[in-house]
Amino acid sequence: MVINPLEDRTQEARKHIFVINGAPEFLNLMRDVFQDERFNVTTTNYVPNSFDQIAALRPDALIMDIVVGQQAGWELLERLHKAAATTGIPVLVVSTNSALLDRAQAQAERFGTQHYLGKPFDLNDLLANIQEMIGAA
Amino acid sequence: MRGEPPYPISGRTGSHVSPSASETPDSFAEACADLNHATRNPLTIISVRSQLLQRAVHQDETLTAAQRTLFLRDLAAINAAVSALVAALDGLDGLDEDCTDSVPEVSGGPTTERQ
Repeated sequence: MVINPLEDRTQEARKHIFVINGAPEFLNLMRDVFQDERFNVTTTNYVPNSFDQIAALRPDALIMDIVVGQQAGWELLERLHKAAATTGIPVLVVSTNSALLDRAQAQAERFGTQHYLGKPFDLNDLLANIQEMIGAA
Repeated sequence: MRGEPPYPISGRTGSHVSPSASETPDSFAEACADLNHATRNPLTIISVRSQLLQRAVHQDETLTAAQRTLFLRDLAAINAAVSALVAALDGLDGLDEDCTDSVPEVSGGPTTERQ
């Protein structure tokens, strides 16, 4: 699935995806996927500094991995949703744990989340979510 | 002999293991969470990488029809294996520590035992 025919899209006009995940292999994968789709991609595996980066970069979409026992991810989501500079950024929550996805969905107003994907996911589902998020942004 | 694959697998190696995976879990639920984390992440990598390869095989006009068929067959087998593993993990997720379904079939009724 190709999101858009973007052959002539300039670097500046490209949409920007920000990915937070603890696994370098996953970040490499997301970089490959979205660069193929002609997005700009920023990745980080370190949550505590992410808010300032996201607020400065104002990406078009955020892909956030939520992990069991790690509160920092939830705190970041809540902070992003509350802050004026970041509140409009659409967030795709991904997780290996379906209970965490259920929690994000149940508390969507608190965390500002609208999109959820359990791992492992299908490439087309990932791209369809991003297309929907960016189209709605 | 098929020779070297035309799409070299990434040189990035190594695997991510949950920090808690090397410790003894305190409960069945924690063990399941560790197992899910340790397996679903690499399964995601395998699944999406194989889908990217499928795309590349479809788009590569230098491949012969026979080569394309071979590669697509192999990638389909990988995807089928991933699906089987995910189904097994999903089954495990539905069990509690007594190896019974954690969600009763009838509200308030007995749980259904699994083999």
